[in-house]
Amino acid sequence: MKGLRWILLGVWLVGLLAESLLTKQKLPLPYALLGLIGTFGFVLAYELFGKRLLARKEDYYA
Amino acid sequence: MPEALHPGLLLMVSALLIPLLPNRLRAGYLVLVPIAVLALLMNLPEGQWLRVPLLDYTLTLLRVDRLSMGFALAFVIALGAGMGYGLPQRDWREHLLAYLYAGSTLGVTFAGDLLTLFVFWEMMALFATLLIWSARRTDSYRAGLRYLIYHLIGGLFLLFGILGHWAGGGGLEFNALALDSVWAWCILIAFVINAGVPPFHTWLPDAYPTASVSGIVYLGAFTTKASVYVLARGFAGAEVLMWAGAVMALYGVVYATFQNDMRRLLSYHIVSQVGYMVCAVGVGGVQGVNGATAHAFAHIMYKSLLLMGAGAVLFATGKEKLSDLTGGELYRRLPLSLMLYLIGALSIAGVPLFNGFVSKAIITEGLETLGQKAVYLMLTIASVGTFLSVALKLAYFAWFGKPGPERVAQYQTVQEVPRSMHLGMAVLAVVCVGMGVAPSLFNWILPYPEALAVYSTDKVLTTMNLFVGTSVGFAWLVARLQPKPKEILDLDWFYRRGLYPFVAWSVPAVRRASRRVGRLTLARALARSRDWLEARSAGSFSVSDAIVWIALFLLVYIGAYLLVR
Repeated sequence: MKGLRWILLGVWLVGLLAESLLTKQKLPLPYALLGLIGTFGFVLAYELFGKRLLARKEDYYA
Repeated sequence: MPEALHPGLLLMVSALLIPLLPNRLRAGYLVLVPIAVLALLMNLPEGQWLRVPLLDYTLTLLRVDRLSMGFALAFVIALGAGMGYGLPQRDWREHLLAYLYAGSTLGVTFAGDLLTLFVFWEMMALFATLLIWSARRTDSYRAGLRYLIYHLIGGLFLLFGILGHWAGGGGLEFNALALDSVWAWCILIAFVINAGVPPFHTWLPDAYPTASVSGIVYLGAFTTKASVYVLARGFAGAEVLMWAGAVMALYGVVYATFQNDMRRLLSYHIVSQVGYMVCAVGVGGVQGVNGATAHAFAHIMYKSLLLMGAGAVLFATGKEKLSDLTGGELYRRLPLSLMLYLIGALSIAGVPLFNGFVSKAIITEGLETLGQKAVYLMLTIASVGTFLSVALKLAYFAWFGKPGPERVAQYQTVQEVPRSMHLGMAVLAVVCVGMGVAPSLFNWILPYPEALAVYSTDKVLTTMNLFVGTSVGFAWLVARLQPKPKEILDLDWFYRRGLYPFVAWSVPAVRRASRRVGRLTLARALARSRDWLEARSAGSFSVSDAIVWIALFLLVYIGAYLLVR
């Protein structure tokens, strides 16, 4: 998994560069980063809210 | 006369033969009937057929146009694929109920008037409930009952809305409705309850995961999408729906990310994806209605495929919680199921060359035209969450995960699912890829055919960067997303736990009052509800008790009406 992380990071950076060059536009950075920021956001939401919503038992309503 | 043959009624009549057929003939029959209905659909001429006079009105059982046809085709394809997938399921009752459920859904889709719509709407709720119960799991009975109560309340809203609309001179024809009366709002509330718009969504992730592996395929395909159809028919362009849909898309995906149960995770994704469709209906116009139809069609294909993929894991291992599956190296045991599942996952995320990319592009184009940047952003974030939870989290923890020797040994003997299950999945996978590679195929089902120029360099690159960025985040944060073997509470807590002390306190008080005032119907109904709650805590309760609750709701409504009229 550790190796895969760096490969993915490399692919992503190349993709961002390609998007910038091929579309001949200034990279819309916030949008380009949305995948990464969004993932952090979902994990943060889980840490902040999801864990508080965990029921005490595995099958709470049973 | 072929034009007078109702595809839904044909399915319902065909269902009656299922118990009579011997086992060896039944399998062929189950798959061939949807193919025959598909052929019938493709030859149905546009127009209004099967018009039945009733008092001063004429009911239209079969209104055929491009909007109804697009949805109907998706329903029948899902039924056919689901039948192939569900063949190893030997219980003929489930197949019978699936036919009746599909038939009533087609009845809703082709209803030309509000009364016909209501009749098929209620039948749809009933057969869906019976389908949930047919799984005969310990949790399916209670979840099915909650499903039924929710939908009967929705049905009451629909009935009041229709009667009020009719009494106000609005007629019985089912066409575009203006949100200018309380009756139109009642109809809208009924539709959004069935669509699973929060806070009326809890019945969906509650009940669907308790169905059988094939039952959930039909449930995932029919009810919510029939609701999208009626919303597109009745309320296209209602701005409130655009915002409700965007919230729905985000709400569903956030909850999906938290889930441990595979099929509950995918059920929350139904909420999220239907959010895209509701949003498109709110956009309205040609782009909005096209977007809702395209996404509903695409969704029925890939969601059925995803539910089949998760069902294949459940069928092969008997487990559906990610915390029970992770590290079992199921990619070695169920490789074909994984591949087919991944096609569905890439489709739902909206990866280029898959159908979800095309249908989402139609919706976002509509939003760009309206200049709705905030809604556009909300849907894009929902896409990130979809890719994260369906393509990465579920696939990783179900089929891969950090291998542990005990877990690997536990699944050592697991074998791939029967070929017919893969065949059902493969049909849907071909549709998902085919419509993604050739977007013009969408014109086959769009209400307003258009030139679909959805592939451009910047769109494809932007989308790919979005998903590779999500994968980077997942690879770094995977430990944080480790599934926990606990239930996540949702808004249903308010009535499943929060209301319990109130009702437990109020019912004895009402009973005391009822002793004083005599045997009033209302008091008796309330007293019955205490028995219902007691029975619930003891582990059993009956449909008649649910009916008491519905009757109570009806009485309150009539009382309120008499007071304010």
